[in-house]
Amino acid sequence: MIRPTRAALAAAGLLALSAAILPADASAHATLETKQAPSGSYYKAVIRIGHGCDGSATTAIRVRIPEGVVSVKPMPKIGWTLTTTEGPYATPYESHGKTITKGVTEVTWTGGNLPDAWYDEFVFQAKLPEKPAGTVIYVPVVQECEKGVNRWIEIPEPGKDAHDYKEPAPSVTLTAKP
Amino acid sequence: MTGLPATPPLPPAGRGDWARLLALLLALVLLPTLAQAHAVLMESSPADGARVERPPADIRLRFNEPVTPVAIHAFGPGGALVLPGPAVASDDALRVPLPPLPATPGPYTVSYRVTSGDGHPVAGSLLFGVGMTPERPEQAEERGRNLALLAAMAARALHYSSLLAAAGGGLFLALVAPGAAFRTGRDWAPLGRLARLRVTVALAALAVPLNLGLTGALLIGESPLALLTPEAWRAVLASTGGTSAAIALSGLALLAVGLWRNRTGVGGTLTLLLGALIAIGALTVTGHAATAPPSWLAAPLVGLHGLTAAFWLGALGPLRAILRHAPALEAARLVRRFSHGAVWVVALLIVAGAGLSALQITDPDRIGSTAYGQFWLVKMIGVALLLGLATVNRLWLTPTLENGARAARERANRLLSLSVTLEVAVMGLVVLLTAALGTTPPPRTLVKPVIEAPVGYSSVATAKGRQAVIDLDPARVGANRLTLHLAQPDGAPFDPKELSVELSQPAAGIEPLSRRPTRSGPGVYRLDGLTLPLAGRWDIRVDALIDDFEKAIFRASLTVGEQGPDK
Repeated sequence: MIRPTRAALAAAGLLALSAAILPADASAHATLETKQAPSGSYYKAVIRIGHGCDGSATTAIRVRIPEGVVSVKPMPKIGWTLTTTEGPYATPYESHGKTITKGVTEVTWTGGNLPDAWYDEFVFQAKLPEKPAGTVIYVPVVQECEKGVNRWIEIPEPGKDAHDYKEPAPSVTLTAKP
Repeated sequence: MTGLPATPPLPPAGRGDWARLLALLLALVLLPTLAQAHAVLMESSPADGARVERPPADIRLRFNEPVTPVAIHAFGPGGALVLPGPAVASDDALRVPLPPLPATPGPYTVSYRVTSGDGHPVAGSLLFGVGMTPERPEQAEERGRNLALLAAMAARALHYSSLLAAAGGGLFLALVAPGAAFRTGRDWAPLGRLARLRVTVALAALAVPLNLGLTGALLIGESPLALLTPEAWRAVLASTGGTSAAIALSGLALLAVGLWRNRTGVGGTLTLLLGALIAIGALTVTGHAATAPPSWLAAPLVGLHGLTAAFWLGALGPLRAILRHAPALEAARLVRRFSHGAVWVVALLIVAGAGLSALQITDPDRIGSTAYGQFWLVKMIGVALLLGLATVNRLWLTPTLENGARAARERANRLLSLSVTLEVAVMGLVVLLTAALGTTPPPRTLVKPVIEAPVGYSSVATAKGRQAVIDLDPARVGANRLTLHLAQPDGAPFDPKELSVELSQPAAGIEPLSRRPTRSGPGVYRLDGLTLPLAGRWDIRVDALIDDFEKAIFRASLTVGEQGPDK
């Protein structure tokens, strides 16, 4: 008889939990594909859109670049018009000896049509801020549809987490610098 | 050619009777309405009688029209509170900042006195408890106020009648009898002097500050003697009354100049006309008649009503002087000239008056059931009497004065003089009633309930520096009303891009009820007919979208009681 160790039990539990969460996560919410990234690293943000707004097709994705995320380069998408909005940074940052005070604050893909039954990804690259490991960076996303809008902008209040919300903002958690 | 014999003046006893009758009438209709005020408090946060869990940072009051704060006092369990700053008025809302209050339970009272857009005072007080339900003390009577109201009404009647007489006299001299002068004994005297217009203008100029000061006394809620205090003047000068007085005085100054220059022709005529127009313009910037919605209609109607009334009222003095001093043919010519114009003027007067009445009374049912309606009815009787006299003058006396035999002409002159004297008396009554109407709340302001039912439960939540005061009424099982007062970090009203409310009772497994409140004022949102099926502690979550990507989430708990007894 094999006695399961406590670690194995925990692993099995974690697996079951992630199995329960992940499919729901992928289909129900707008999320970032990569959930963890090193502090200060260049990060490829892949926003996954698994459904429309209550069955209506998605026509626009708008992303607010959070404070501290810089050097944003969005990836164009066939069939979608890419626009960016520039604005001043709340806190300027140093890059290769130069002080950068403004940059992209909003990225928008418009004019496309993503039926509710289909899946797509919207991508940009950016440099994550240098902050302690465990810091969560929230990337608010507004999903506009033919009818209605989903605002993935809810940032958990203290003592709560993303599961307490209907429309949580996608997030990435910083890890220690390699 | 000799002038007609002067008519004997009305015996003094007759005037006394009129005065007594007037006083009696006024007292009868007026007394039950003395305590009523003008603009109406629509809602407050916290609501009157409410229990709040945390002490609020400020008090918000919303009226049915814009107000100016005059005196605000706050009292806590330890006595009067020192307010950290002045009350801030924006649109129809008033924000009273409070000093930091301890969280220990205690009752608080905020008393306020404000002037509304029409220059009338509104006073009241607001009671709420921090962590306790406040007990309502007996309503204190306001002494001295009734006397101030009567004095203010009398001053207003004097102001109206003297202003109309001065402006109308100017109009008469300018339009009906420009440059007229008649022989008195050996000298020639201009009509303006014979009609004692300079005295009228002086009286009107004195009545302006008197009316202003007594209105100020009424505003600060003191006895008539408060007109000697600087507070009364500060209060009234901050209201529309100050502007109106300035306009009236400048109009009167022009009239005085015009009277002095009367004999020089065109220049004098224009000065008189302009002075009369400006003086009447003073009536269009204050009072609830001029500020009734829609104001683009109400203010011009008041101007037209005032101008036409002035033409009529102001003509009576000069007409009497003409009948007394002018040669018969000249008198007949001038009376006919006035009579011609008067038909149109009176028609306009009635149209404007009818329009204003419709704006104020809003519903014929309210004529009998409100004090305003009763005053209005008595005024209409006076107006009917005036129209009757005017008709007799125009259809019988004026033609006889012009074409009758000598004896008939003399009789017509006497009768016409008597009729004009009578008109003066009735017009005095009508003006007095107009002043009474001006100090009585019109039915349009009574349409909405004056006092809202006390709110059952209040809670304050903050998110992203913003504040939400959440009121639930009556906080019992069944239909409830939810009211939200949202404020920016700086205290200004917060109107989110989108607002939704979710109520849930997780303990009882009740999934969130999601609703969208409707806006009922700046930063004020309301949800009527919200049905709560269970008693107990409900969680409320308010999502307020600040911009596309940011929202404030307010959370609070509300205690809902069992079904209460039917009210």
